[in-house]
Amino acid sequence: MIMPWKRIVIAGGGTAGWMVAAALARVFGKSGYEITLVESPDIGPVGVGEATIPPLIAFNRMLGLNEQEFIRQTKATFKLGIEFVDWRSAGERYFHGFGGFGTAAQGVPFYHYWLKWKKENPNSDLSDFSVTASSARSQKFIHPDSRGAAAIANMRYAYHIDAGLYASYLKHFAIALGVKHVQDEILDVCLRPDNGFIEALQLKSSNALQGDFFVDCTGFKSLLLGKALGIPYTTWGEWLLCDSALAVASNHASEAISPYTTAIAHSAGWQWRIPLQHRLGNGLVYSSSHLDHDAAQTLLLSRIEGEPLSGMKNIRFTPGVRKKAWEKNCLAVGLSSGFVEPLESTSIHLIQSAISRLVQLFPDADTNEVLARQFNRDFSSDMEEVRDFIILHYCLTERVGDPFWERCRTMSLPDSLQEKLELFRCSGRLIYEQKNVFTDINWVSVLIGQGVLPASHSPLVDGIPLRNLQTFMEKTRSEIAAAVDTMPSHQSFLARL
Amino acid sequence: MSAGIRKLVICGGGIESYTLAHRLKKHFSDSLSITLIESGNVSEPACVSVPPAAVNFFTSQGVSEDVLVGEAGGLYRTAVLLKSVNQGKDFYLPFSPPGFMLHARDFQHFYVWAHKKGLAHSYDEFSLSSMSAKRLKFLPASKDAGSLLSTLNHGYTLDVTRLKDYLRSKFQSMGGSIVDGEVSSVSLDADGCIACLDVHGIDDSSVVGDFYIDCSGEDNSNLSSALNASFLSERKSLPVDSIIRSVSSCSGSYRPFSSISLQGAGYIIEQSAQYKKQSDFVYNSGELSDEEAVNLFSEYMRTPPSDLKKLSGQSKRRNQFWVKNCIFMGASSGFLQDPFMGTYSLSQSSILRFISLFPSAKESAPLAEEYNRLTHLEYDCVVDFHSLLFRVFGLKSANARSDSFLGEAVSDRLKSRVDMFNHTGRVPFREGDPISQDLWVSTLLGSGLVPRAYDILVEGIEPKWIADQLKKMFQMIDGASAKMPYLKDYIAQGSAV
Repeated sequence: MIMPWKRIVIAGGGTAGWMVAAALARVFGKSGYEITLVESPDIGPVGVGEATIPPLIAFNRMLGLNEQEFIRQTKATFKLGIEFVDWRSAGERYFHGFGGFGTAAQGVPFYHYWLKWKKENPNSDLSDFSVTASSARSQKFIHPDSRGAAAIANMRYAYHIDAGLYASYLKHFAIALGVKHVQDEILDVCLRPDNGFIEALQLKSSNALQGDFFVDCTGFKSLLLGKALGIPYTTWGEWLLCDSALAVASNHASEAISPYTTAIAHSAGWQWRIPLQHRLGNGLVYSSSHLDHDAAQTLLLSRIEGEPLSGMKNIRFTPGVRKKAWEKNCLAVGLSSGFVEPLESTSIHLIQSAISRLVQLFPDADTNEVLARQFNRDFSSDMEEVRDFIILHYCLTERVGDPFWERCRTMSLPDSLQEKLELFRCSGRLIYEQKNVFTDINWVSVLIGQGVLPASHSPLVDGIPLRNLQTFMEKTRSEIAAAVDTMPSHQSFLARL
Repeated sequence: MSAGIRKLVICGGGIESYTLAHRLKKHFSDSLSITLIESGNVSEPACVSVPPAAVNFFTSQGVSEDVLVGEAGGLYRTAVLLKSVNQGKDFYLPFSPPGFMLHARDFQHFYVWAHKKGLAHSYDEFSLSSMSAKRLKFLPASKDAGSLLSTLNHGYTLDVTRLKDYLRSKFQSMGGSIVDGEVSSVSLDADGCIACLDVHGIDDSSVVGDFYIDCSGEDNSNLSSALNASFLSERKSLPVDSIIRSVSSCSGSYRPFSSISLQGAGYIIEQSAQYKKQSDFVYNSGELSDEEAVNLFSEYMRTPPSDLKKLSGQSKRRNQFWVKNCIFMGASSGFLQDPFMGTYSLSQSSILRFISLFPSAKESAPLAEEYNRLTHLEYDCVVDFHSLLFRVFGLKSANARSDSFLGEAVSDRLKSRVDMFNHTGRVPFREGDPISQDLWVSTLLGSGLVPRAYDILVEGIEPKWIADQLKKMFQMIDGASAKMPYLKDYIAQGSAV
């Protein structure tokens, strides 16, 4: 006889907490599960991670959210990718778009054709062959549509959202589905003396909150998994030098609202620019051993457009990951399980993928251990995948002079990343593996954007005579350009919603 | 036009060689010159069975189904019959997954739930391809996505001689050259790469290439000894080493499945194409003398022992599959037995892998490393699955003698997979695994291993509703399979068109 764990307690009510609550409430429906979320009225959310990546669309769909409503509620804009400025060297920029390049032919990825083409046409830019990059550059947007031109079917997008508004939107959603909301402070975590499982959360002004399964969404504090259960933290500071962030909102300085995030490198880190409907999100990510707090503040203020709308938020972090995310009857989701800087907008995604795994692997007393093992395996590989992808942006720099970038350029890399780079450099091929967060397209965009041109491309491309290749490339580019021409501006697309 | 590899040499005159040669000609046409050294001394099976992945393989090679089951004499195959595995009952391991998801949860969980409550149907009775196979019926998948028939999948049992003749003549008409003879010696260059092969035939000649593929199937070919390539034994996981083969002609009674059954200290695989039937008795020579085996099998087949052919079938794989400028493919890459994914199926996936990693220089260590890594991962999965199939028979067997041969140690990988299934009703899956999750689950459930647990969310659903859904599913599948045409009639109709 299976004894279900029916009392689920979520500790913490930030973006992570309410995403977990909303998803579990949606999945369990009215099947007798009791979901309680406890949050302190005094602790505000960290509120970074306002940019997202495409899988969020699937998450919202799973919840049954209407896109227009979601966009209104969260003051969202569309995001087609990230423009990287000054990363390779000062004055250089490239676009990492979400959609694929060109159209696949003969089973060979399009970029191999481009690599061959590039040898004859040294000025060719790969992003001209990406419909998302091209529409982003023209400040345009349209939903992907498989019925129309092939180029438009290739559109991929995500959102820029106000994470605080998203959390409160999901809060109403979850409460309407029956999630119990307790506003109280967590004083202590009570463990069962026999097996060390969490028994209850001791609260400040009400009775202890008992549960069968606990989700730790308490942010960097990691009250349950880190503090109570003592799961250690592995730091990745040797590769990810940034450990501080400043965030400030400003009003729009110009009419146009870009459908992309901008990431601009500076002497000791980078700066983000995230356009929402009503304001711009700005932030400075930096290494505190290369730039002091005051200098960072001055730097950020000197670089934002428009007038600042609020005081500056200051966040310190240690990049890294908990050894396990799931221990005993506790799963940490979000910052409590680890943190990698927001360069590729992965924070919300990592919450989401933890949730979909939890839903697939929801435990009971009998199955908990085996399911946790599986979860932790997948979790670690996701985190390492994100880590390697972020390091990639830094280690490929050609910037000289700044000690920060000197170190990035010369540091030794994790083996997993080193192998990927070697294979790509010599052959243009990517290591085939389970990629849960980023696809080959993401890797190629950044590798080529940062100036890695492989020594050779797939020989399969050589079967095509040069003249045919020219026709093929020109046709692809003009199809994309024609498709972009027909698209409305991002601004007017938003206004029509 | 490829800068590095202009001439490729394939050794061996078997079906793998011609499949590869034809495939490469298709991709490279005249930009790659291909020489095939056809050794006269090939011992090849008469029939090979391939899983559904072969459908795409042949389509993308331009070999249509009209050819495969028309002039090449193959047959459609939708299941593997495992004879008397679970308390004496037959199980049809299906190519299309049983049942449908309910509430976004996999069907297997509902099946296990119902089984524990006394459901009379076996798992394969919920699969359209098992049910149709059992009734000797066949239809290909419908293109109408809404139709039940769109869930169908099929592979083939191929007539090796006919298919090889077809590919051979295509290869020749596309300008490929064939040299008749045996490789008598191998010359290496200063880097230790193969420089040329001396061929002893009607006319002695020397064949020069940039890259070599050894499909000769010889245990210790001249190429492998020149490159010091060695084997790893898989005897522990797959403890059989000998095969006795019977080939007979057949006509008329077409079966859309291959079958495996336990016999004494070994098992018998039977597969039939349109004109030929092949039966193999596979056993462990340490348990059964060759003479005993021949007598046992000739009695079973009711054929005189003189019509039987004795073959060696040691379980093994290469340490490295790609060494310097040479790849060992087909039987030269090893032998993982043939209960499900045989040597020819493994060659098909090796061919695709080789093409996606096709080198642009004679020697490319990172590409070779990636090829070897991926091939080992695939072989790991196949070894585990075959080892599981051996165990499946072991579960049923009351015969002490065969228990000792089937009960030998299995790998930790397989143990943890079965453990996960047993505890949770799920099997882990990695992208690129050649054996689908559905096949693992079907095999485990079909063998009578009922997991201790299933998806806990099933508990929250109204029991009567689940029971009604299962009943409806069974009726739909039963009804649809009964209405399908007999394989015999389907083939007759096809050749009439």
